[in-house]
Amino acid sequence: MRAKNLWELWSSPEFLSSDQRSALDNFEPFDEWEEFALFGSHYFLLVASSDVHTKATRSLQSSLGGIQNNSDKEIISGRIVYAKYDKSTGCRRFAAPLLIQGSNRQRDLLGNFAGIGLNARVNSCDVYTMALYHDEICHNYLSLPGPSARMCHTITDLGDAGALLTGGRTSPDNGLSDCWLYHKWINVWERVDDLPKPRYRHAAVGIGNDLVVIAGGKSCSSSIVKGFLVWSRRHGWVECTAGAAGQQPATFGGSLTTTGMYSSGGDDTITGIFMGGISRDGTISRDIWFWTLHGCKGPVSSNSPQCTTLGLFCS
Amino acid sequence: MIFDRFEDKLSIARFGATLVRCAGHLLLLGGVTPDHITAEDQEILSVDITQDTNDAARIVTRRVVMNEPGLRPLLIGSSIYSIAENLVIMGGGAVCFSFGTFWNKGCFSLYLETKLKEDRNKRFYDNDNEIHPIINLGHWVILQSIEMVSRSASTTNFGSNKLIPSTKQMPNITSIPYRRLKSAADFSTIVTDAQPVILQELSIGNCTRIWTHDYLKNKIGGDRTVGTS
Repeated sequence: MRAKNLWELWSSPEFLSSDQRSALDNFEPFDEWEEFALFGSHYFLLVASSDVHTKATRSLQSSLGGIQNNSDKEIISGRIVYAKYDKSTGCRRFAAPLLIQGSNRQRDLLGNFAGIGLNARVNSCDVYTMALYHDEICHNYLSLPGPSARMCHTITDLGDAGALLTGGRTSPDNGLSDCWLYHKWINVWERVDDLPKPRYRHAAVGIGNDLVVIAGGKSCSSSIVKGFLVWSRRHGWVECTAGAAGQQPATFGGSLTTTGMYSSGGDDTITGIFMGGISRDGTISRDIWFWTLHGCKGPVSSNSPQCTTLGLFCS
Repeated sequence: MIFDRFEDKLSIARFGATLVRCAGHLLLLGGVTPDHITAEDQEILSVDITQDTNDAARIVTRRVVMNEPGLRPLLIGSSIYSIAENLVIMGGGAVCFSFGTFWNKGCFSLYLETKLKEDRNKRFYDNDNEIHPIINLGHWVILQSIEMVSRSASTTNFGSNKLIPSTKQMPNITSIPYRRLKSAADFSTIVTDAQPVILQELSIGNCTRIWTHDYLKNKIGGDRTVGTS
């Protein structure tokens, strides 16, 4: 007797081929992957046979036990508190965090900008404060012109230089390319360089107050955007060249961060990782990419930043 | 390029996960793992990545366990931000087929205890000279929701800066006339004119004379609650 849940069957080559999975994108623009995985994990296919040598039972591996964990040694404990929303203010998904100026200049308030609310995509912003302080918002609105209602965008904080909002989407077939820099001290959205191609469900990370690196994402329901882009004031969006072997991540919904920064020979080098996400065949990638970015001195450098992917770690 | 095969027993390559730095940790929150629902004790991991100059790398994860196991945000579509050594989780939710939509109905503030041990000896004295432990766990709450609005005329004018929309004209103020009704015909004229008018000295019944506090208390009931929304 063997069982497999439906989410696992989705990525199992015995049930669906890569082509079949990606062909579904042509039928219906779909972008509810977390819900799909949640739903699929609640149902399973069970094959039982009285004949232990049956080929059918041997092909299904039991996987209801959960993943093996090698990190039982040390646990980090944490504290968590909950603050209930009043009615449905605060209910939004696939928004992005944005620092907002508070009445006290020493302390910013935290906003949750755009996303999809109870009924529709919005460009409003929920504002949060620490309960300890009776803070107020400096301006009671975000000024227009500014980004339109969207979800699955990113906002990367660049300190006092502003916060960069990139891309996002309305419907899964309508990715957005516009990017805006939010200046919190004067409450102004500045429209900056458009992305070369629309992107949503991409990942972004800031480097100091000068650069934003983005990776992966989708431009429409059937097209994943490959590779990394770097934004700076001086150069706008620069596409990163892939490493010697030409391989680079091609997923959406992956995670991105920096791991280090070092200087050698007057050149700044930044390292980071990008992992996971769903690839073109509709399954979650188990790759962890280590990337290295050369030549980043922000506005001072006269060279365009380059980016090479250095290592590929697979499961 | 250097390729190195690494057996993934850590399930950190996920879909829709959030990677964020907080209080010296690199944290991985939420995300869909291949093949099954992310186990509860794998929802929040601290990830240590060491990369030496030979480009070999080592990844170690540690589970982050909260003191309040009952407080568990649904980590789908939520915005997670690291601020002042706390992690704030805002929004989020999912449409759970056959079970309805679930929204996180509040925000969560997280603090990792590795730092708390150092702070345990810190105290502060309040006005009554009572000792309280320093609370580094920020308790974030929602203040309000704000909209995108065109700037009004009264705010700073940046002149010809094309980024700022041009200041709007102040609206004209029209006075509304007061009228005393003299006859029924008078009223018909007013209605036909269809312009706003304030009618003075109208007879609106006994209420002006009768409705005292005591009368109303009597009629409505002294302890009846009235809701305002």
